[in-house]
Amino acid sequence: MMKRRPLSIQGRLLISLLGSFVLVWSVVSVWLLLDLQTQMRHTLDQRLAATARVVAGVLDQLPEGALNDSQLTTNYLTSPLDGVACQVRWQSGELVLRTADDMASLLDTPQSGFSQRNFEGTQWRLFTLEHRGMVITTADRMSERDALYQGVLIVVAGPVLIALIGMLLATWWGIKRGLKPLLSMGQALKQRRPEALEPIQLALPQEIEPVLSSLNQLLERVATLVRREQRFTADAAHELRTPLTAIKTNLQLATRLPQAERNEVLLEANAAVERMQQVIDQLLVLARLDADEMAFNQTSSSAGEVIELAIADIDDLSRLEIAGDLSLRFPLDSATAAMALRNLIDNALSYAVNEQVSSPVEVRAIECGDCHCLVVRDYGPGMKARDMAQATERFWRANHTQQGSGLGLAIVEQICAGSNGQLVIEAANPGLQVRLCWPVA
Amino acid sequence: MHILLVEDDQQVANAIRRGLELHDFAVDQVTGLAQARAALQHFSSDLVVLDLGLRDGNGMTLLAQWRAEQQQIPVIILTARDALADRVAGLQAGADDYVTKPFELDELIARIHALLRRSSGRASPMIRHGALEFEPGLRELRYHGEVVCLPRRELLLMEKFLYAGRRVLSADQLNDSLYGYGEEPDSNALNVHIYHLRKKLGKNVIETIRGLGFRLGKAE
Repeated sequence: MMKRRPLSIQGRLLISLLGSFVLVWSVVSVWLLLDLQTQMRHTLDQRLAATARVVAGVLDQLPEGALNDSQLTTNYLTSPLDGVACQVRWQSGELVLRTADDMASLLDTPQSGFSQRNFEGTQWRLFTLEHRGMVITTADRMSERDALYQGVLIVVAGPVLIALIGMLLATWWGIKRGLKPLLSMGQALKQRRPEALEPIQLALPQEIEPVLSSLNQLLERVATLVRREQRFTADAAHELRTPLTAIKTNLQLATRLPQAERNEVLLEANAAVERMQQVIDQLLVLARLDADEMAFNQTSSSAGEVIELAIADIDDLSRLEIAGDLSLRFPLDSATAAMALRNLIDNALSYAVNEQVSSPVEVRAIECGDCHCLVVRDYGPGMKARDMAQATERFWRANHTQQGSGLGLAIVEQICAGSNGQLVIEAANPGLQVRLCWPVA
Repeated sequence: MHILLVEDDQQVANAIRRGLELHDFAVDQVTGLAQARAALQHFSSDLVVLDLGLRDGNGMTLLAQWRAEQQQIPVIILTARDALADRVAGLQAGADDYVTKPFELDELIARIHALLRRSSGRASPMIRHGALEFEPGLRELRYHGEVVCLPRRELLLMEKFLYAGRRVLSADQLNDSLYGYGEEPDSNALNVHIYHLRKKLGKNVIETIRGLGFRLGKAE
């Protein structure tokens, strides 16, 4: 099943920020509107009540008995006001004043305080005050209130909406701008050739700088690995092709040479086959050691077993001198330890021939510090310091005229690395001393 | 013709030397750059077969040096490095041909003959001089249309003369084309060979230039 692609960071930020802005602003707006409505209603009610009191105050100022004038009872206020109304009655029921004649049904027989009534299809708000035997009723039309409320709303909502839109735009722009370094890094990565391993050069803000620098470190490590791998492959190809060339050329010669000389080139071909087999065997050993590095770390073996196994196939033992404590134990199986030791002995036997014909090779098992060591020492020409550093590289050979694949010490080192041991190559003057050391458990 | 073989792997070198000798080349083998440089000054080689990964350096540097010194000798790179980049670099460094190991002996020989032909300025594999005709790959010498059977050394000598045309060749140059590694020439052997050639192909086939050496005669 295809995994759904997660939303882009920009999308996420936009949705969450803009969403929460809209939500917060809506809640605030609704709250504001409700509050405004309550406040306006309260204020307008107060005004309605104040009007009633003003009327009461004005009536108080009239001379005593003026309101009993029968002439007044028929006097309505001449120009009826739109949307507002007022009526004054004696408590006995006799009308004193009314703003409009036809509004009796609205203004008559109210309860005291605030109330609401339907009049000719519209809602009215009423306030009734009882004052010194008079009932003063003021009223205003609710639709006037609504119109006012809407007017206020329009005045308030315009700037709020513009601010909201402005804020959304600013957020969008800010997010885009803020994410630009990420985008440019993504772009740079996308434009690279997939096999490119050179570091990415980009000026980035400090938040994502670590990402880039660790990416570059990784690239560098990969590049080193790839270079090593390429060199290994090239070297391996060379080491395999060289004996193969000898085999092939000698076989071609065999078909052209007279019978008498044929044997010689076939023997040469055979020698090359053996050499090739050795290279292949050693490559396979290395591959196996790479694959199960720690597998041979679970058993242990004694120096006696290891040395016995290591020298088992050596034809001429006359140059070997074996000494030391053969009961010392090493934390790896005897076959693997013997393979390492055998490589060292072979090197010593073949490289230390020039000095004296019968220069000895010493193999010792010793305890040094808190380590158990196998030591191989020869009295040959020794090794240059520069060579010692390179000696464990795969396919490195001290001398190309010598037989060998250049994998022996690489194998020894691989064995040491896999079994927590250490390979030490040191000048012994005269000769060379190579130690295999494992810490005592 | 004399070939300088620069190859540090003894098994491979032995096999190549044998193969070249089997095809009538005189071969000297060296194992390193320094030796190769010295050998080219000592011997008058006609062609170099050069390995690249030598123990004292890369054969390519030697080749580039030779070409910088206007050394015209044909060079075939013979190496295990088969990557395209290596082949291009080899040819650009001045190699005339690039053969990868393992190789077919016949192909190597054919390429050597082709290079020798081109370096002597001929278009056809057949060398003609007067009444003489020689095809190096077939090792067949004809005189007036008749195949002449010559012993190996005499044929080698004629080959060297025919490649040189009417240039004068010194006794050293002629000896180098006859004797490779491990073959010590008798001091008088060259004169004996020339004496035999004159007997078989007529007195004028080879002229003696006093104090300088020999050159091919009119051979009519």
